[in-house]
Amino acid sequence: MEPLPTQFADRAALIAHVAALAPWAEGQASDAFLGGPEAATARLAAITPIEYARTRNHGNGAITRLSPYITHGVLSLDAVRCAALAKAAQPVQITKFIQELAWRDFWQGVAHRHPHWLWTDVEPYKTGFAAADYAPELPDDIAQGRTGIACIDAFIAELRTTGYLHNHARMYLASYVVHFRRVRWQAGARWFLQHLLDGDVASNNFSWQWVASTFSHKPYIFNLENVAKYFTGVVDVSPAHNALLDATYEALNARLFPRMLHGGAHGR
Amino acid sequence: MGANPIVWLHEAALRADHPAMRAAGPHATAVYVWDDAQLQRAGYSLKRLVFIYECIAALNITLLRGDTVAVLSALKPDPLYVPACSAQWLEPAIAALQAANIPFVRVADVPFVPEKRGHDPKRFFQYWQRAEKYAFTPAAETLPL
Repeated sequence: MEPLPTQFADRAALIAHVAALAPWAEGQASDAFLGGPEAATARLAAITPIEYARTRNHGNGAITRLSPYITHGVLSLDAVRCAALAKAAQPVQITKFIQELAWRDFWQGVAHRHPHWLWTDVEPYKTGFAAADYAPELPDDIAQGRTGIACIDAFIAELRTTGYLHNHARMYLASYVVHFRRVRWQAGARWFLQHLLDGDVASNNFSWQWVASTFSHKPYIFNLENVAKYFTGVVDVSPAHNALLDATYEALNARLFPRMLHGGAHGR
Repeated sequence: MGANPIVWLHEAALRADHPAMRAAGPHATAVYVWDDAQLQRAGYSLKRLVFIYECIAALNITLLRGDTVAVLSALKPDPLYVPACSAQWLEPAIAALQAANIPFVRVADVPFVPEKRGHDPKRFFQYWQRAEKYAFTPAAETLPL
């Protein structure tokens, strides 16, 4: 065993050290997140859980970006809950915020009881297609963020650069990969885990399965109108640069799930 | 308390006040094992590796490079305190440590809501129906069921 240093002259020296330890690792360090309790505590102090309930679905909403610290145990869910409770006169004001913590707790519990579900389809796809109809590997244009769809490529660039993505954008990307490109959710889940600083196999993989419909009642899809509602001013939502997504839900259901006679996907 | 308590602070438990640290006591040694093969298998990008390293560097713990099981076995923990988590690399490592006769204690993080034996919700709303009455209360104020 080899002792490794924990003191560095500056962050650049630490980054150079890690790069030398792992020459196989892709990409660059993220400037958007600093590891450690000091950065975590600063972010925790800055949360606005009441505002979160109103704006969390928007690309520029009052989200906390605490998840990398929660995933790596720097913050416990209980510590985040306590900080949120301290900022609300009535707990009911922060129900949405608490529920987001609860989602994580829920997924962790499912993974604990059913670890074999993490990488296998919990249920069949409810898309009219069988698992074998989905490609096993992530296409390179997706991995590189060169799909030609402006908002999708912007989300991918953010994922690759910062290691973080708004939850709504994660849902769009997952839906694009699984339903618009018909790629198995496992390929997308592996890709997210490589890049997300908060990549947690339970939250990540079960969320992918939720979008795919292998762990939900129906597939999740979205259209350009929905992206524009939540991400105007954040990414390019022009129809000219996002033509594939510029359709009604009815049209998308017919296009993406032609074997489904009734019902269809949900969007939000 | 054994003769050589050691806490294995792995990548899902990078904080000084994790319950595993309290369980091990003030004289325990805390270590992180930088396992190249495991990290490469995970395929983490450099930004995630840097984030993890920064978290480790901020803790006053011993950082050792090598194979996880080999390093932990060589330290001869008595016992080894292991923070529980759902990461898939944890169980094979624990199985290997057990095979090497390393005594270990699994320590859960502070619970978000109390565990209920046999409760196995498959959809979130089933979970939430039970969790809601605990979810708005700090863990310190929640009595075990």
